[in-house]
Amino acid sequence: MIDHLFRHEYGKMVSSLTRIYGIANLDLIEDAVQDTFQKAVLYFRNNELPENPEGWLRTVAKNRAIDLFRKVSSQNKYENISGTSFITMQEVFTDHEIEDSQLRLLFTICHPSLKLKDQIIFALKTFSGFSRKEIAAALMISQENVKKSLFRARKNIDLNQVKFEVPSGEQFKERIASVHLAIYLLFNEGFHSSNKEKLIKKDLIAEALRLNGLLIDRFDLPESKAMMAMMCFHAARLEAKISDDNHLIKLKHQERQKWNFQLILKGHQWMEEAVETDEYTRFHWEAAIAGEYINARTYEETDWAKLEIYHRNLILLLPTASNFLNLAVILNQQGKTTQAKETLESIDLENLKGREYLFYSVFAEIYSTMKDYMLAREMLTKALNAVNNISEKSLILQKLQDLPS
Amino acid sequence: MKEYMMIFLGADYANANLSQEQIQERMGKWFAWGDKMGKAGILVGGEALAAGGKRISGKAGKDRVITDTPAIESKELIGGYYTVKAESFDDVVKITEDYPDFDLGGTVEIREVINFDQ
Repeated sequence: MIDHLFRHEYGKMVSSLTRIYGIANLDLIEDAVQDTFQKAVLYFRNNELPENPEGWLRTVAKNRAIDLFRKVSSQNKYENISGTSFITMQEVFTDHEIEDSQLRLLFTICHPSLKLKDQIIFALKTFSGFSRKEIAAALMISQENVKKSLFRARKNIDLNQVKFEVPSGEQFKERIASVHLAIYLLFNEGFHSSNKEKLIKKDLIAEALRLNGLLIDRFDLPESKAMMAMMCFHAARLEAKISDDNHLIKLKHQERQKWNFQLILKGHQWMEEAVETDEYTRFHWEAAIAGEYINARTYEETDWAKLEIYHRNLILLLPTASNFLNLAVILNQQGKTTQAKETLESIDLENLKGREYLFYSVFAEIYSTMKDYMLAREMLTKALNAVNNISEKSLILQKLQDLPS
Repeated sequence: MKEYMMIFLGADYANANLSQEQIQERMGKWFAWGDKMGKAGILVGGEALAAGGKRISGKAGKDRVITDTPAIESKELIGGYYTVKAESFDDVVKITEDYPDFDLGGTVEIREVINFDQ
């Protein structure tokens, strides 16, 4: 509870102080804020929380600003300081300005000179207050790689002299797209990861929702809302997606009563707002797809025809191997065997890392329908070799046994 | 309640040869003052003005004079302002007791903000 409260405040403090002292001093700022939070967490474990934690933290943040002044100004950056400039610094700690600083930080982190993965690691560290260890655990990479990634990110920010601001005009359009992508990936890291820690998954998902909420509050863009809808629909299935013994359960086999009704409702509300536009984005179609899967009472009752339309629209915007594979699954569900086969054949397996087993499984089903059991067996064997998930593995084994020889 | 503007003039930090510690201490005082007014619910807003600017005077044409503000005596320069809610000038005078820069030659000018809506 305490840790979470502070996690949300961490980014606020870092972004406000960065607003004052500049991104070049980020290391100093982060050290100071980390130190503050560590002490606060320790203190409040043994003492009562203050009545107004945010107000308390704001006072602490201002004290940090004062402490930092000497460290930062020793590099002679503050020759032109005057007493009244502190009036402006005070303003930085008002609600509206804190929100503004957070957005600046988010847009700085998502500068196109940074790799997508680096952006996420950088955001988790600087914005969300995850420790290196927590990031390593959440993204299932080594701490050493986290360190390298953060170093790379900072170097790129310095090299490109990225300004601590929300860009405007054409640059805004580009940057908001990369902010959306980073949030999307962050969400996926939480939702699709094979990480066994349910708590970590929830943390990542919550962060993605929080960041996207910040965007919606400020910019009110349909694509942010569509992404919010999609994330709600997916997140609604999180509990049903993981079995008691920590295995991933595929949509087909999930207990639908375990889905979170509140989140589904929220997803629909966001979707209603998101479609008030003439231009649908990938997030609109992905939200429509996620929502359609959830609408059906049972897997068998899924409206495949609608899903086919949504996927075809999505592919027009985003012709990825993964999207083609999904389309093939849906075509096959509708008995459009030839089309499904043609779609599969158009996919370059190189681009399907981690999902090859699904590719082979769909192929197997198609051959099965065509009564070509030898080829079906061959495909299932390939699928078996490519699959990692235990429950999926046993399903494929079952299908192999059920095949008529 | 009326609104008053406290206008801060002078207080030359650059020529006072302040150490980093001394500036830091003043920063603490400014923050404390701002917090005090904020908590009392009387603070309306405030801005700081960057040093250096232009002053323009004279009729259009030959008489028009544009002066760089650094050429103007620093005592005359407005560094910034706070707007506060108060009952009277006397109350604002009390508020200014916490102004941190009197010792640097800083001056506070208090002016009532005219509000036609009331």
